Amino acid sequence: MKDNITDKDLDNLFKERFQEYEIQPSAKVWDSVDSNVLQAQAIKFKKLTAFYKWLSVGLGVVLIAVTVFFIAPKSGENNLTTNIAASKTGQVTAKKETQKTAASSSKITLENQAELLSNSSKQSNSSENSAKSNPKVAKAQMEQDSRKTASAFASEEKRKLRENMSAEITQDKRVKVEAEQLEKMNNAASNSNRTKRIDRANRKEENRLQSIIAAEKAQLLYTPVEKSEDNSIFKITVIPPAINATALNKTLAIDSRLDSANLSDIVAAHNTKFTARISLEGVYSPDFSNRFIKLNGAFHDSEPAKEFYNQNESAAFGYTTGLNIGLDITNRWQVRLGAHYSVFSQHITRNSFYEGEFDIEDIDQFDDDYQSPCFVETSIGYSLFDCDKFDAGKLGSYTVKLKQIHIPIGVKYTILNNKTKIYVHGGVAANILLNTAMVVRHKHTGEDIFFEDIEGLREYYFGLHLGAGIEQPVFKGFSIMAEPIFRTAFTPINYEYPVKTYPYSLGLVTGIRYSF
Amino acid sequence: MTPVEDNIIKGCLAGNRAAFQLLYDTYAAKMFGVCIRYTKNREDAEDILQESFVKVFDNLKQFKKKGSFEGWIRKIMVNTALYHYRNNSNLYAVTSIEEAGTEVISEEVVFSQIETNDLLKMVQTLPPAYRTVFNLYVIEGYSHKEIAALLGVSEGTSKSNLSDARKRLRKVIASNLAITQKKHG
Repeated sequence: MKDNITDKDLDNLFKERFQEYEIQPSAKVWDSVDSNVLQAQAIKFKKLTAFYKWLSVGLGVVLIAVTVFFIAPKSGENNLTTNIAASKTGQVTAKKETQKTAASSSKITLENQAELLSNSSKQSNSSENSAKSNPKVAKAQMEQDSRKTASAFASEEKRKLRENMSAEITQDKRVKVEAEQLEKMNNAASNSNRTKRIDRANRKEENRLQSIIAAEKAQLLYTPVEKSEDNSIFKITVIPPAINATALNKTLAIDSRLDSANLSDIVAAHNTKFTARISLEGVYSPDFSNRFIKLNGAFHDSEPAKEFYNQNESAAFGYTTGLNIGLDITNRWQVRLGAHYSVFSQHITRNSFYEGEFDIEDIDQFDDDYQSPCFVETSIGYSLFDCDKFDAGKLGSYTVKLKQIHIPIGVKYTILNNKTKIYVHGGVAANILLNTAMVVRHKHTGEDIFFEDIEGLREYYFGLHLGAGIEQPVFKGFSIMAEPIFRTAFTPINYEYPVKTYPYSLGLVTGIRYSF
Repeated sequence: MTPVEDNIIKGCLAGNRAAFQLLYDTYAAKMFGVCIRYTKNREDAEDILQESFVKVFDNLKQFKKKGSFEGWIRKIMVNTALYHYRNNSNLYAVTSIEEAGTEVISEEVVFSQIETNDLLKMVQTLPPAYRTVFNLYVIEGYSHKEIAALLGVSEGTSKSNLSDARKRLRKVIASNLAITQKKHG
């Protein structure tokens, strides 16, 4: 008897034969698997190593920035150094004038002393002549004249001594201020080897000068006014300012040596170092995110996949929030390092979900907890998941979310440096995925589902950012800012995938900045 | 999950290469039987098998031990095969329907005489779209709606591909039967 074979019989024939069908693959399959697994382990180790390498670089940058901030001179010192540079010529002139005045004063003092002594001698001779005519009157007159002369001499010398002492003390103070200024200038120049050598020499010289000045000051202050035994002759020891003149000469010599070190260069270099303020920013940015897709040359015929992704995916809103630490290099340039938490979002349609229900009676491999496997495929990666845990069957769109740490480092240049500042900024960034998972949020229920075994998703990728901004001070040290920003990846987020996917986003960073 | 499977998984997670090999040896033949149904030749099936096992090892830590380990591996095999189908063949092209013969064949004779390897060859000779739909519907148990979503085609296309696959298989089986009958006189 001949019967037409039905569809059911045909199906059962193949189903029964293939249900437990086994066939040995060739030995090369295991060799290939073995080498791939070993290679994968090596790649994982390499990725881990690379991750820690970049992490250490980032930490190194932070460490250097913090170190420089703490060891750099304060902004007030910067101004002082600038002032020193600006008034250096005037100071040198003033020093010379002081020296000249001091020397002149010394000369006058000695001349006056000689003149007074000469007058006293003349008066003494005159008294002798009078004494010849009237010895008593002459003697009295002589004593009176002598007292007057001595008194006048003493008064004059005391006044001049006070002036001298005052001049010396003023000069001492000036020298001391100059010494401090030199010290600060030397600090400013500490990065230059040549200046370091000068710095050491100056410090040594300065110490010696300070000793001389101190000794001189002590001598001036404690030099007694001597009298003769009969109080008729006053001997006043006047310390001429020659020592101070020597000190000034040496100070000027130091200035001269600083001149040879090109002080203006030192000050200019000082101004371009990390001398300014550090600032902290709290930022939040709503992002309109999407991705670029390029075909992966390693896969042939991946154009349909690209078309499929483009048909079923569109931009979505994500966000970025975190902290920035800024270091003002100059009034216009700033270096910024950030640590942000970012969510990259992407809309996908339900066409990206492939739903299936396995018949447990026929295929007993799937237990009750996982009997409805679904498959989702996006330009980021693809994965299996359990349909029962997520109502993927409902019409509507879904949002893929990638949670990541965003670490940007870049520079900011202030174009308009008024009270309200306008600036541009840019830099590079490392993006570290918090887990190699994709989170899909249901549009209507808001339910999240994690796809933990995303194929082809990297653990990190790198990007760059460009933008502009405006900053407005609002309170002491506080200012608010707004920055339109464009972020994009320059390394793909996936690998071994038909397409190379590069996330990008347009955002508006809003934040508060506090300058210390 | 059996204690043996549990030990294998633990060994693999610990990076034990012998455990990797034991896992492979345990499931390779069975999984190769799955992969080979989705390809036109042995070489392509071995590629899928190799890629799938690498995925198994890479994602082993994500296996939740509540379910069947073999089922989890099989799922990876099927999906890798589908992934290859989508990316390495004319994913969205609808293969033209070829008219098949309408031979009347004897069920008893055919079923007893055709070897499983011959059936496999018959499936492998089908166009990729027919072969994939036939495997998913007949062996894996998917519905047409599911297959349509899975392959990005309409339900009608899925039904049409299955129908054409059956027609082709009947034709091939009839030819096979004719040859067998000739041999036996």
